[in-house]
Amino acid sequence: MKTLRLLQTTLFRLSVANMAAFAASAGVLLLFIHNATVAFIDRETNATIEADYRGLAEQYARLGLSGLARVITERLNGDTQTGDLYLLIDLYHRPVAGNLALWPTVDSQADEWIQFGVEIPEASGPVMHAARAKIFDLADKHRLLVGRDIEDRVDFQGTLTVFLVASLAIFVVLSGIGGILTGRNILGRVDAIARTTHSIIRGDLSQRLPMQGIGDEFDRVAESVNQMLNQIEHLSKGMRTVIDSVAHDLRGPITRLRSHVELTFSNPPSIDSYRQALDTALTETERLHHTVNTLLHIAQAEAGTLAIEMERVDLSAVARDVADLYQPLAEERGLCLIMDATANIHILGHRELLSHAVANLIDNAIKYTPQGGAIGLTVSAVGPRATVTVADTGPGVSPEDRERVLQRFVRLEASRTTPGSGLGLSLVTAVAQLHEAELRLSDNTPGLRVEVIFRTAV
Amino acid sequence: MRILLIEDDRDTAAYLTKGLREGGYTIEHASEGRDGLFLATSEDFDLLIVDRMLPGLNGLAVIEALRAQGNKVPVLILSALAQIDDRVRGLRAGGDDYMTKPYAFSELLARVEALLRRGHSAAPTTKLGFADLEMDLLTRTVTRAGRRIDLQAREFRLLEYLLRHAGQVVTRTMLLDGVWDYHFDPQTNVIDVHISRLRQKIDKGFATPLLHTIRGAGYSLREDA
Repeated sequence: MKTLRLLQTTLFRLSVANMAAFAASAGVLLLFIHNATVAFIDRETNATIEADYRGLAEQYARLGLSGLARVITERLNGDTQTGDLYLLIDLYHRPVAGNLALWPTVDSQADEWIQFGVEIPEASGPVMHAARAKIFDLADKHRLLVGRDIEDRVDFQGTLTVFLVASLAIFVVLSGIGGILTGRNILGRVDAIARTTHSIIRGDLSQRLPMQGIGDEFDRVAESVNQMLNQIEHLSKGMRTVIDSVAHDLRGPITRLRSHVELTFSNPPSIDSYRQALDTALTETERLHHTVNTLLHIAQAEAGTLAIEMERVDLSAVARDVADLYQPLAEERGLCLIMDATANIHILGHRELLSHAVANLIDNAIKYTPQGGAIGLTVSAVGPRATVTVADTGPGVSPEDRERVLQRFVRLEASRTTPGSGLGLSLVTAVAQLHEAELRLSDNTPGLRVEVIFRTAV
Repeated sequence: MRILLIEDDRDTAAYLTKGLREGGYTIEHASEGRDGLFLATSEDFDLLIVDRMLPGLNGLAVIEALRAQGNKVPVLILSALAQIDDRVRGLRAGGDDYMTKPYAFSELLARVEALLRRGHSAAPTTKLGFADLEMDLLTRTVTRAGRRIDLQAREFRLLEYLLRHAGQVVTRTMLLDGVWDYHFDPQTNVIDVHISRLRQKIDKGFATPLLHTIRGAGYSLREDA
């Protein structure tokens, strides 16, 4: 099974194809080397034989047949190990001089190269050696054969062939192993990715594709897939939180609503009590309605840029409009709402969500600042940063609580008595995240200072 | 006044039909996009209430088809999609107003009234008036019984909106939408304070109050109490 899958991998097939092409070209190259070497050795042998003959021809011209026979015999007596072969025969094919017992049976013409077998006496008995020779016609129908024992050359040619074939075989085997190893490596990585993907499909969104850290193509794919998974995990966490929050915040009012209706039914019927129950029910549904809408707003802001169209927004205008909406309320509560916005600070954003966020900050400030206090709403820009600051003179938030108040439904103990869903700041958090803005809570000594720092649009 | 309701949910349709009939309107109901489009093109209606998600042909497609034929009937879109930018898409498709579910029936009724009224006063006006209250949109002055009333810019727009919908119930959401162009509910009811300030200016010192609060619904410019 594993082998079959290995054979199916693209890489394995590629390496087999590669190997075949390489083997073919290596084969051609080796064949060429083989032939060139053999031809070279043949030429060398031929040259030696011809040089030998020229020497003998000179002697023959000078000394005649008998002189030639003497020279041949002297040469052979001088050294028997050179592999030189000579045979001088007369008209009746009788050997006159030389170290060959018989004229080769090969059909031969003068000035032609012949190849034949020759029996060489050795310690273990006679051995057949290959020989190469040239035949020359002399006067009186005498013929001379000058040749060489080429058994060494034949041996060498055999060795060369074996060597070349062996190296081709080794090459094929090695590249086959290489193909299998790389194929298995790739297959291993693909399997790892597939395993991770499967556990993600089964619902474990925390899994990430393995990375080797060498920045190859697999790492690059894994990296972008992991980034995608981060985003998906973030979104699904967001969704889960929304569902938790909805359950949490809706259960209360629904329970109240239900128990109120049940209570009214169990009491003696009267128009007044019915009217009052309906009145309460209406108030509760209004609250539910409001909470659901706010939660959806938060969820959408958190869901990210997919569904939301960003445009150039004048942050100062957004702040001014919100200040305008809240000014009367602030005055009614005996608070001083001070607006200070530099004109024309533009960011890329969503006007509605930005307004909602600023409105929530002002709303909170108004809610928690005691009568006679002041609330400052400032929009300023320094370099590439645009900051919306809402500062109040209320009780503030202690440093250890600052992180916590940004979460959903968190209402500090001190604020239990004031109305509110506890969703205000979490919307601000979500909107800040959506705009890639930084949300900073600090001490206004006294009071709370909330800064939302955006990047300005060009 | 004839209203065509294109809504596939039976309960919602029955409830809206009943409520609107009690409000004095004649209702035709289509439970599918294609039927709705057919009815809307073959008969005359004063208003269409269209659900966005419909079997057959979706609500936006119905509206686009109508607008492509040059039909200018006012359309109120109902939607369970509360996506922030869906509202924009709905209005871009040719809807005149957009409400997301869940909504209060009083809100729906108020918006229906507002849309029907708008269909009748297409001509641009320079003067608005109600009872002895007068508003000149060119000089941007307001008088009541001949006495000049000074209003801030936002108060002026608030009163203008109320005057354009005089006699009808105007909800808080409608005001946030029409005067401030906000489609979210602020946590605290800020509109009440704006209204009471405006009331201070236009009603204080006059025998009959004009700006009334309608419990559980909103506000209304009325002469009777």
